[in-house]
Amino acid sequence: MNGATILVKTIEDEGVDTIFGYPGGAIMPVYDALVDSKLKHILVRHEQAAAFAADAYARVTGKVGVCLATSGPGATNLITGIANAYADSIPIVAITGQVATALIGTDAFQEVDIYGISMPVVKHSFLIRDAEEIQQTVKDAFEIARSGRPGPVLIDFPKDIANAKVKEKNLRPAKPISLPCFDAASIETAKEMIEQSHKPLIYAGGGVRIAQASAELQAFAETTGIPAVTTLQGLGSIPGQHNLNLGMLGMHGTKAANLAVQECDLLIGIGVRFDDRATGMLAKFAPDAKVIHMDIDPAEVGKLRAVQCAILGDLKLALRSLHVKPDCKDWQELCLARKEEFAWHYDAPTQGIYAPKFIKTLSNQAHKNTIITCDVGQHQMWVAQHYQFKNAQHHLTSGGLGAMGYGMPAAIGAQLASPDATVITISGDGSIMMNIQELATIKRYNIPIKVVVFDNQALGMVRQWQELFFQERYSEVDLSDNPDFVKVAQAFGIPAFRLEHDNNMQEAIGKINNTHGPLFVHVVIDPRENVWPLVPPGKPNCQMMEANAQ
Amino acid sequence: MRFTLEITMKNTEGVLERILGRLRQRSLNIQAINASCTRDCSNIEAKITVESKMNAESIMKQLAKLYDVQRINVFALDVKDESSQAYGVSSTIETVITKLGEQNEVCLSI
Ligand SMILES: Cc1ncc(C[n+]2csc(CCOP(=O)(O)OP(=O)(O)O)c2C)c(N)n1
Ligand SMILES: [Mg+2]
Repeated sequence: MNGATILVKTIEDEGVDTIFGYPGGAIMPVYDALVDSKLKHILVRHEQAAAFAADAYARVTGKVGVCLATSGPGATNLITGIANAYADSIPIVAITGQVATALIGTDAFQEVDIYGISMPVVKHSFLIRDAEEIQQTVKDAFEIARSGRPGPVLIDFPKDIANAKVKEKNLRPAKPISLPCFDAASIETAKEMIEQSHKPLIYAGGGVRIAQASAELQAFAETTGIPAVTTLQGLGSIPGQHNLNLGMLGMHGTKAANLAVQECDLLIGIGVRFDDRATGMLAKFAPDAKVIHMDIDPAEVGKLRAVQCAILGDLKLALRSLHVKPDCKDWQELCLARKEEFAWHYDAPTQGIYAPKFIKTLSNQAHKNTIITCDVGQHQMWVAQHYQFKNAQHHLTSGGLGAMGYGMPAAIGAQLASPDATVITISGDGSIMMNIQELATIKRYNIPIKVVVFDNQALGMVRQWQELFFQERYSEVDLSDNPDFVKVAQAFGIPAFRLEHDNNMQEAIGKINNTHGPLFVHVVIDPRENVWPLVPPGKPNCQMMEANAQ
Repeated sequence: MRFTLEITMKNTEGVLERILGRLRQRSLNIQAINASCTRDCSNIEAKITVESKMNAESIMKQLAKLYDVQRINVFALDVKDESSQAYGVSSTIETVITKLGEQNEVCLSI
């Protein structure tokens, strides 16, 4: 057997069934080994899409996603996707071909130092210099990627190592990685703090999804009666329509959520990292609150906000041990009354399509098993605000990195990970162009994704900021010369139509929910529409700008 | 604040670069550095003095996340308060984190 075959076999042994990649010189031995492998390889049309698809595959399955690229430009094209997985703590293994070991350091053709380039955005990386090490390295890479706070691991794989003759070995199991585990004392402290609080609040993040602790979170909220706010990544970790869910906090959060954070006397952070998009001005974030922070990563505790109690370890276990009853009836009522008072309104201001109403209607009518992936911009925030996620695995969005171009490749990864799901990607006219080539992947494998593009003829989110914070000095945000998106989709062989009027909306949503194959929907929306409310950058969350204040 | 970090790490490809990269990215300025590999070359021991706005615990936890790091001690320099001066040392052990060999066990004492 050669090294490449061993590599592929070891990936198979990890329980992976689908990988995403793009071939080239240095990775050719691996592509040769794939011919005889039972791994399903999806040929994307840009390596960035391979990394995004692997990321989405991991988010949906909870398993490690795998992407593959050649050396040099193939490897550098992966970087945005790797950084995305790093920012959102997603377990992927990225394998890059490398020039032969003898050529490393000679500026050889398609040699780049991907090991060095990727260092700041990987959880760990390996450069395999000995074929005998392949099996163990791959096994360790998977273990590192998925253990504790997950993240991307890169394996740089020189061509001569791939071609070397090796024997399959009996492996020692991957080196165990010890994880923090909370002690009884911290649980007791937390219980006391909860019991003594009068205005407690749950602040739930992406860690809940990663720990698959949604059921435990919901049970915790229900038995304690504590209202909850979630981050962008935490959406769905407590169902969107749950009585105690006040919605998303932060820059584009709900008024009910941001006011609750502002006034609470105890903030229970669960799988969160106090990101600036969630906290606004840190010094004024939950100013009257003591903080309990539950997470798997010790480095997040106290990083940005001092805490009074840290519970480090498995969120499932921790949440199960915190069932106490605080005296917070009045507070709960206040929060719920505000939720009602500041509920969203959907009276469409135009004859055209009002994006929030479209998303709300889609949310109401979607099949139970519907996964939404997003790009980045206004449309992404409208999804976060108006789609009620029942399940955190159903919302795939580039949060920490905010990478335009994530949506369509992520939909590909999600659909392959979950063939029975309805997968809809909601994109913008700017973002869709970042990975538009993936329409070819959708066509080739007949992946039944529904692509919805909200076209406001602009880089809308940037335009909104220029309008509000740069005195309407619009700079390079106009996209009024967009291509005819319907024709573009059709050119790739994908059925497409345009939606312009509110009275056709219902029919269009019906088609999205009930078409079997892929579908592309070009939705024309008002270019002047903004996302509200908005906490200006660097301002405290209580200073929300609102639509009518304009 | 200035700190001296004593770090034991596995001698893997580019491990020092990982440490230095992490320190740079978190805006820690390096003032002195001394590193050498152990007799059997399996580990590297480094002593790095940094200037930082971060507290000792945060520095230590950021570095402890690196897979190859086995053990870290952090000493705070410039301790101005009288109690530590009374001992005539400018360094107080603030934090120790150890990943014990193969088991990689983390124990944190502050
Ligand atoms: C790769 C990348 N480049 C630039 C940005 C900065 N950016 C954030 S939102 C946005 C506009 C997105 O436009 P569009 O996809 O049309 O979405 P809209 O805001 O109009 O809904 C830009 C340029 C980014 N997030 N990602
Ligand atoms: Mg747009």
